[in-house]
Amino acid sequence: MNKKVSVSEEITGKTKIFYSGPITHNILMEIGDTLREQLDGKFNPMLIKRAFICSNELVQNIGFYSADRITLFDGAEVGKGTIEIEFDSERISINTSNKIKTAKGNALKSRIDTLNELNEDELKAHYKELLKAPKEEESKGGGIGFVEVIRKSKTKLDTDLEEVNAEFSTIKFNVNLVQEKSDG
Amino acid sequence: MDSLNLEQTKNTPTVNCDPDTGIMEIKGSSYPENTSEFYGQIVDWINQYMLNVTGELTLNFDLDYLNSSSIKFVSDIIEKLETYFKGGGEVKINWYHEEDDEDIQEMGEELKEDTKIPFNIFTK
Repeated sequence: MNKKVSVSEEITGKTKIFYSGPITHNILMEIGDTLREQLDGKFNPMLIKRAFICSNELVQNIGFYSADRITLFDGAEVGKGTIEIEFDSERISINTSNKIKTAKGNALKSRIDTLNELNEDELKAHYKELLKAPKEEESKGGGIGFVEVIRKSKTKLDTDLEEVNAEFSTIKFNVNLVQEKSDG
Repeated sequence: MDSLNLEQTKNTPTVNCDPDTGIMEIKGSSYPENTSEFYGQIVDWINQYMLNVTGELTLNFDLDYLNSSSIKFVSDIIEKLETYFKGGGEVKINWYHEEDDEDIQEMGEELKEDTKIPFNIFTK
């Protein structure tokens, strides 16, 4: 089967994993496999696993939130979006973007900005609340996936909203994972 | 009552639920394409067991990766068993993790904090 996810060496010396298009489960798995293959041996296994976790959650979220949707041959409807994972010897940077209704995007951004302000204990408490919340309520609230990304990356999930027209914007997520020196 | 046996795939765990012994085993990686369909089978089996067999239940979780929707279902399953436990049912949970996998260990500890069911965490 042809690979749909591309890997390229950048002029900056970084390696870039890239995909843009419909987010099917096969694509999610191919992105995850490519990420693990490319990072293997370059970072410690725990950091690679956390990058895999963050990438999967953010890719899955494109499927949930993208306003750019397509119906596949089998009748399934999926969201379209872009994922770009860049890394050098120190840092893994995961970026996703997709189209979203501006009002929904603003609500999501403000919720994630609030999550970014929480400390470790507050995030844990919030995570547990979401685990116990009814499924519909949990996903409407922005989803447990975002909390997982913030907890696993040990940093913030940057969210940016760029207006496309009166109704739609592009929502961009960025998270960085850095190997701790002591992890050595 | 039938047993439930699902073979491991790249993104779904092995599942073995035995109504004779009451032992349930969930082992592998969990990021199914359709999480509710996958875990629905396990939830149905537990419902049947609690209704028809009413025996003791041991859950062995040996997972190396769960996406957030799978964690949500695992939490729901534990909550369901909590009701059974509080009603006098015998339930035990065993949670296994690799020695260097602090995330899976932590996940077990957090699930343990919120349940009254006897919950053991083992390093493999």
